[in-house]
Amino acid sequence: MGLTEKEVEHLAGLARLKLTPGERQMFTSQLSEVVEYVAKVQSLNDKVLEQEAAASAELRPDEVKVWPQADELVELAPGQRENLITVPEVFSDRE
Amino acid sequence: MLTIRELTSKIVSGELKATAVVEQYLKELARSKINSFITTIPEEALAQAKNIDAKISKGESLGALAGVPLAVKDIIVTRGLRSTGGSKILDTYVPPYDATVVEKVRKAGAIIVGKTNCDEFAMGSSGENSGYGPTQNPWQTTCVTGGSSSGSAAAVAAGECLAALGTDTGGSIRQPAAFCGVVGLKPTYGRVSRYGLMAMTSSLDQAGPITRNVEDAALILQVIAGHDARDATSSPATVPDYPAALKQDIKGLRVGVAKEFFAEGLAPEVKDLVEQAIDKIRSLGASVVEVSLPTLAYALAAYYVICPSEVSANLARYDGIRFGVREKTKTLFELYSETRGRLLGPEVKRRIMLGTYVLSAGYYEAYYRQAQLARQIIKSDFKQVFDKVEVLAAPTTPTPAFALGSKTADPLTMYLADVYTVPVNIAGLPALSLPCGFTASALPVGLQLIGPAWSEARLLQLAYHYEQAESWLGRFPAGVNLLY
Repeated sequence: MGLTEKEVEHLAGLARLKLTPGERQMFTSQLSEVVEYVAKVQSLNDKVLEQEAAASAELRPDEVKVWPQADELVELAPGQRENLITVPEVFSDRE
Repeated sequence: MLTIRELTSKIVSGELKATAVVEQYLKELARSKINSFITTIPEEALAQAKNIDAKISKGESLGALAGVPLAVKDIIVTRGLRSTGGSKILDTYVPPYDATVVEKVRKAGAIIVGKTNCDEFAMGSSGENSGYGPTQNPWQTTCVTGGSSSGSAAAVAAGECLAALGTDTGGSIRQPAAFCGVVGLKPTYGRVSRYGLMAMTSSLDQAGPITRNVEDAALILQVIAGHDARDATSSPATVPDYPAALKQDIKGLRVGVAKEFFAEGLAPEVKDLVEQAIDKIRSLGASVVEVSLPTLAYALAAYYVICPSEVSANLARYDGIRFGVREKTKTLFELYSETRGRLLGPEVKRRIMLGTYVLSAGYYEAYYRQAQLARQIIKSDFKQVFDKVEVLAAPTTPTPAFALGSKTADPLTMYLADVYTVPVNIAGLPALSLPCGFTASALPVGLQLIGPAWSEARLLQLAYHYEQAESWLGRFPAGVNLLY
């Protein structure tokens, strides 16, 4: 049960990955092969296993802890101004 | 060749100068032709060595790794030192913080000499998925080192550092350790903090040591293990004294051999060497028991559903907005798709898309949910085996190091290289690989020892006894000059 190129294009769109036509073709056959292989997991019966008690992650108290190097994080961005990270406008389909 | 303990005691006593030791390793590093490092910091390393020598002359006490030239896999963040994760998308990224494991080794006095090459975001089994070119195996430079901790394993084998930190999600410490003839340990999931590891598969990733001998691995594990409040999946379980446990007697230890590890696909030379190693272990007083892991074959399939699923989520952060490289584009959508499209490698893209697929409506039940079921079943199978034996002995890899370029045409062929290591990660268990011989073409082969959760001390113990009884210790590739 392989993938079509159209499906791969859709997945690439969802994952925000720009693919060349060559990549799209290559990934279609490669992903189809892998999907076929991993489908093996479907042959395992839905046995009722002794359910392990879901490990509840130990959560810390919901207290704000200021991380002292926030300005370093802003400096790391590809573009910044007045302690803000600059980005292209979100609604870019406006005229 | 000195162990870490021997080296640090000579440095602390003043018999050896840390600067002399570091200088030797930096010299090897400088003449390296195997592309084992992405970034090296010789000046800083030397300055730190001088600092250590100064502290010693003042009589200050130092940690267990004082003066040890250490390399860190580039997927582990280091403050002020570029960390790329093996990816071009982080080509310019300089982290503002240290991973917990880095904090710990620094505190213990280790001297970081550089960041090692690795498959991009730890995805790969050969080193060929690195954005910075593959690392060559120092035993045979036409061969791969294995991955994803390709540079770490190669650098230790080639005498470019005394020890290294790697990470293991599906075999990425053990497999390159086997291919490069060194020791590599993957701890129990939760034994070592993941804070500061660039997340790949959060439910499987673990950091661990890659060393020249078992005692060094025990020592480094001692330093890096332990609970970390900054990693909610790290365990509060007590950390035993790993080095102290090494010499304890192994007589009567029950070692299991599962036939599923010796099935079709295992190269005859590897099979012979591993069987000889198991015979040796028997002669040391252990009893060898036949066991079975009937669902072993499902582990790889489960892994290649679970791993891409988590990857598709974990790599969404590499969007060109907050860190790393950003493509110049008109629209925001293009910024994401062109930055990621141009700067992420093919294996990373494959796994992101595969993850997106198996998590999508209509496929989630058939793939992701079934893979999680497989995981439960595999865990349960291992539990049953460990009711009968204390340790499992198996090959680490089905073949020795393969030729560069020989598995890159077909991703599935590459994935199959991890068939013996992946089940261990799926079950969250500890395992180590250590050398058990060389093939006729002089390539190293690894013996894998697997234990139940939190049994690192016993694994190291058995490994130590085997290592001391054999002659693989102290063998290095031709041309490797080691004074220390």
